[in-house]
Amino acid sequence: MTLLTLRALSVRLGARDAVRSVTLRVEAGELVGLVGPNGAGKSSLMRGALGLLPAGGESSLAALPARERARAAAWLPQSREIAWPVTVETLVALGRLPRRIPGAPMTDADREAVARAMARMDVARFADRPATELSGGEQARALIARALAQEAPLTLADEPVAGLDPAHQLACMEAFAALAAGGAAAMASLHDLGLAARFCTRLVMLDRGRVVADGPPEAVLTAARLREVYGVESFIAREAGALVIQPLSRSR
Amino acid sequence: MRLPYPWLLAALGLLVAALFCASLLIGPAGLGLADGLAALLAGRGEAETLVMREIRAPRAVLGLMIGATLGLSGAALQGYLRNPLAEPGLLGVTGAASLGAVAAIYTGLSLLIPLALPLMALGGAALAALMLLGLAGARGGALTLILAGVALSALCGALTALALNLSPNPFAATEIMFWMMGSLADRSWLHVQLAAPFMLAGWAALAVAGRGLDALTLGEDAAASLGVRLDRLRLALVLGTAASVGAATAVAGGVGFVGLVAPHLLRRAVGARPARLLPAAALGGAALLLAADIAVRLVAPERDLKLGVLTALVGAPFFLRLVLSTRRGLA
Amino acid sequence: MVLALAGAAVVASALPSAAESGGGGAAPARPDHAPRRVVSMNLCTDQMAMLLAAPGQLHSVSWMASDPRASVLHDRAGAYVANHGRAEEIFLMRPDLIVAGAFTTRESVSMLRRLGFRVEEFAPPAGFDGIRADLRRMGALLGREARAEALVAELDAGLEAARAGADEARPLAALRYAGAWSSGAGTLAHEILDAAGLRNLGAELGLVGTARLPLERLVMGAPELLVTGRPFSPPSLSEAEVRHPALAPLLSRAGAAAIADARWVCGAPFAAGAVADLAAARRTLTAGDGRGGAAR
Repeated sequence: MTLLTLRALSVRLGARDAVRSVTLRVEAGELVGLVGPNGAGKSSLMRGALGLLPAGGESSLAALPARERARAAAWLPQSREIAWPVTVETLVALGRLPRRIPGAPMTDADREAVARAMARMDVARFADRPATELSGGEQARALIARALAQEAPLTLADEPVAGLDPAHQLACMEAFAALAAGGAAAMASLHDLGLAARFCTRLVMLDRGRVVADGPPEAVLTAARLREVYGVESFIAREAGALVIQPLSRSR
Repeated sequence: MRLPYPWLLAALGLLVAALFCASLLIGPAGLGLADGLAALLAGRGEAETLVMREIRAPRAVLGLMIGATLGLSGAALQGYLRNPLAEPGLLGVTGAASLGAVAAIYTGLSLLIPLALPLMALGGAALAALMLLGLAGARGGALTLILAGVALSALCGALTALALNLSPNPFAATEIMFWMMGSLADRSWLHVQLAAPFMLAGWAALAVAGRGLDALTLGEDAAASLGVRLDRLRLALVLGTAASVGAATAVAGGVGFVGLVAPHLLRRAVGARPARLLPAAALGGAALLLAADIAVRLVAPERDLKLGVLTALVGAPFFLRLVLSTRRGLA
Repeated sequence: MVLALAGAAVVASALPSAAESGGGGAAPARPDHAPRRVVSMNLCTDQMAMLLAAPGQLHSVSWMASDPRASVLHDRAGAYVANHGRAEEIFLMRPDLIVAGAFTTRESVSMLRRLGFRVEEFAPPAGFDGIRADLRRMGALLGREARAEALVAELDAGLEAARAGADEARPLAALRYAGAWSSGAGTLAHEILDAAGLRNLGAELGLVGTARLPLERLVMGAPELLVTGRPFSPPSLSEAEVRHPALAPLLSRAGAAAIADARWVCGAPFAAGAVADLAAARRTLTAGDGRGGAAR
């Protein structure tokens, strides 16, 4: 099942073409890693696809009415904003808003989804603490749990693992992989190419607003392409059936 | 241990009811409790009945409604702007309504048509709403709205100062200044009838904003992805504030700080959830304003201490404390 | 209008020395030393000077003197150059005497003093004694003592005519101006009521000077006559309060008298006119069994 279709999507930010005519589909069961250097257009691509930025071309999500879109896709922005000292549980429960009838109390299904998401991201023990009092990494996990609690068919996440310790980076990627394995899909922009290669079923590499590669990690992450796009020399190997990538030095 | 939410609302409701009764029973005429109640309920004693039913009752009702308006709109604006230092005056609605009132005084219309003053104040508020929406644009965020409000406030302040500057005589200027200090003294049922429909409409617009405000805890992008129509939310917020705060200003003049203090005092008690804060802050605002209006009658009954002066005297130090604690929070 | 009168009166009672310091040092001028070119900067001194000055002696009065809403002598003010109380324009008039109010245009007055002009200041009168003293002082300054005595006699005759007989009732009246202001003991307005044979609710409730009279206490006081100041030029925004519904029953029963503000503000001999109007309203009240008459 196709969960997202983009046709010739273009996004302009001021005078800059942030995304230039990107066409792609995301199918159920995929965990798509969006990779590329800073300013390649990863965030703009996802925000344009969600209708959060005015965009040219077509996006199946942006075309939906707001409420339906919120049930079709969850979005985890890069900025980790928590405006008020609400408890972690309240914060995570915000993910259930699109599924709740306005004014009605939470159902058992809502509560279970919140509990699952908190357990998944290891924040259940903070449930009653004000989210603003947590550390940066803990806040990031609570916000990921919020997106998971939305239980949308497609989850889009902008640099979800930034600022997490290694164990929680793995936990986060495992959570997205579990979504994909369960018949949903996720798309996440990532700078850690090792994590991207290890967990993603597919990578889309962007450079200056265009898709320069799209396919399984070992096909996308070649030494030549990393040199060309990122300007780095890398160590690439297979270890126990998994791709291992370590950038070593800058080219040129 | 936090009070459960329904209990909190019930406690606030009781407090408001008690202050409402106190507001009815306290005044310079010095009626006894029994006489006052007999006059209010049974119409015993002609002068007493006039005092209770025509002077104190509308004053208490306006105190309740204006306090609720300020608390509710303050909570809604703080939620929308995600800033605990926001208050209804920030949007420039208060300034625009004041300007409308000053124009009514200045042109002499307030003498010709009995309700010209509140009507023109409401017109000023409506104009402010249109200008805010026009200035902030279709996709403008919270910051654009604040800037538009600041610009509008400055413009209205300048025009009000111009009216004072060019006022035809010093006595008109004095009266304009006294009016702008804000007061509930000697308001009648006419004022209630005029302001109530706008306040109720404004409350309705602000009340539906709760869900969107909750979602905004996560920022504008995340809220939009949760299905919140930010453009509609802003429309509801601007129109709701303009109608309710405009009407409040039209009958009472500018009463500051209630809209800032009420949400802040109750934020912890509702677990900081913006939607839950709305009804709580409305009740809290009503309690604060009724208490302040009782205080002006007790502290200096003969000097006609203005309500807006008292709320500012109490509110400004509170604001300073809030600034300091915000700074500590950032550090 | 009344509001400002009020403010001035309050200050006047707090600072009695202000008026005296202006007048104390002025030696009575003899006619041959009388000033020839007098400029008045204040509505009250304008009107006194217009009543007292010899032909050609008064050169300029303030612009407010020709405002019919503020000035009783507005139709006579056109004969003089209008000034706006600014030092520069008055300097150019080269007056040999300037008369001014004690509480207005303070900066201009001190500037003129520094420039070497003779400035005499008059505080708003707090009663009929003050009016008499002001008239005599102004008469002395202008070298018109005889005219001043005549005006004082005129004032006294007017007051005598309005006086209530010993057997007549003294109805209770309430003064109420825009902004809930009223006058208690120690004010010209109170003396005007008293001279017209009326009791003053404000004074009976313990108000001293010009003070607020809350609507509630006004209603509870149930006065037989409600005396309101008329609104002064555009806006008197608190007029709405005078029309408060709670006053409607009182107004339908009690008499109402609106007294032109112009006659309260400065007093002068016009205060006698206000007394006469109120005395007439009182007589209508006592004769007509409470149905009110309106005095202008």
